[in-house]
Amino acid sequence: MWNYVLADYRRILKRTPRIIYVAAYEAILLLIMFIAWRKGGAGFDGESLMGSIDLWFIAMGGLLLGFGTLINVYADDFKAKTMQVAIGIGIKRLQVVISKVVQAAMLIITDVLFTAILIVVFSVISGAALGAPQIGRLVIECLMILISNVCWISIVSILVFKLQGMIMPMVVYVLLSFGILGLLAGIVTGIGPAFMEKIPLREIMPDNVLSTFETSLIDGGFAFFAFIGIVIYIVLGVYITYLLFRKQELDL
Amino acid sequence: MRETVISMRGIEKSYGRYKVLHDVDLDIYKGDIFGLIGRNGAGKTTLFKVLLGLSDYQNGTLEIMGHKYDLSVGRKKIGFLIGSNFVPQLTGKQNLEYYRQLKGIKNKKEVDRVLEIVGLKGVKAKYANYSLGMKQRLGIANAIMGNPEILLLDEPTNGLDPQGIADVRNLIKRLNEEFKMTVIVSSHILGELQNTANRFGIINDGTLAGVITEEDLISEQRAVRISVDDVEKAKAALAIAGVKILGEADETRTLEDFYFNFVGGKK
Repeated sequence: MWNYVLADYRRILKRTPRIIYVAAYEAILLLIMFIAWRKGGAGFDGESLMGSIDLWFIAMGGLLLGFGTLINVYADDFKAKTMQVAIGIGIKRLQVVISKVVQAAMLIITDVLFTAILIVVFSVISGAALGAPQIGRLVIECLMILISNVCWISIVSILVFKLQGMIMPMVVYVLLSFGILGLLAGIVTGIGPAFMEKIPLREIMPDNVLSTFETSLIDGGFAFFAFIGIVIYIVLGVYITYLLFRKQELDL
Repeated sequence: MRETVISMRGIEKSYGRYKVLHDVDLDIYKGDIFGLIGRNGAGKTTLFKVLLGLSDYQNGTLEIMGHKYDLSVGRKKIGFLIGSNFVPQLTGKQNLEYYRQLKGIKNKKEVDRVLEIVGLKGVKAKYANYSLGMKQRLGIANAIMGNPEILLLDEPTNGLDPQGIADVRNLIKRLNEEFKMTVIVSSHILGELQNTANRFGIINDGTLAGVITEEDLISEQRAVRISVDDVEKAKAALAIAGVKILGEADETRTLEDFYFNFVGGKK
């Protein structure tokens, strides 16, 4: 299985579309920080820097980097049928499913680390030194981008493996990232029978669980049950994917 | 007693109510070049997919390299060419490099080795620009990477010109004789398989209609072709020896003979 994980990871890292996508994201991030620096002048500090990247990295970074990762993790699998080759040479279907989630995690870590290093280097060059609170916030955001994307990609894998295509999964990924599940839970609770209000449906939705966990980290704590909930969603995503995939006919 | 590398008993595969494979009993022995013959839609590719785990089967037993319960162990010893499994934007070498890592082959020279065997070493074009023959050869190169014990080749001469067909035929024989690979090759072209394999399975409507060997073909032989410098003298000599001539036909060169004579290359 690790041969598959590493072979795909190395191949995906070198994909030209991926390099262009990540480079474009980082270029825009640099531009945003640079404009903020120029505008801020002498008053530009660590807090200003973090404020400047609030939208592009903190709010949107997960979606933008994760979307690119989702596309690239599966991009060549359907064209080149590499999954079929992996199964044909003896890699079990469960290992294939797990490998894809692991590959996604590795790619996210790579992109997030690169972005974080870019931000830190810029802070040094611009003289906007990042203090402990800013560094702490940066670490938390990087961690949340990783965790949330592994969670969404694990859930979306159900569709990827079942449909053996990417259009629908990409749409669903974006909707999940925007909190569609929490929204739907809220609607169901609101318009459903009275007993539904007693079920914490919205609270257990993955977007809310992730939000709870992130808030706990920002407050200096660790929401253990929220973390367990995230792990359960990731494991469920992998398991359901495997159940649907294990007997699936694969084209050549 | 020959060693069995693949054994199928009563394999049955259905799509809904439609049976694509039924009552398939088949043994492949070590060292075979086994030709699987059948018309389009007979079940050849489905059989390969079942062997590779790309398609499930509903009944029967399958054993690969002695493994029955965990087929993935046996599958690690199989190399295969089924369809096209390459990224068009990468070169042949880059594609094989990916598969070398996927297969866990540590020797970095393995890619060059197999490219040399199939005659693609030094080709720098992207896969998207390969001719059909080159694509087939790259597929074979990928299949033989890591020296598998069993090679599955699904219609490897599909769409190839006569030289390409001859090259693939000779390559299969070389892989079997020199590299000791057991080869299972499928085709719907009878003549081509007859020149390549030593055992033949005829698949028809999802079942194995029969298995014949080279010996079966020879024992059915009723004629032999002898080249002589004087046909009349030869006929007279046979008559003196008491050999009855049952019939005679003018020797003709085959179309393949003419083709290679005109364009060069070897059969």
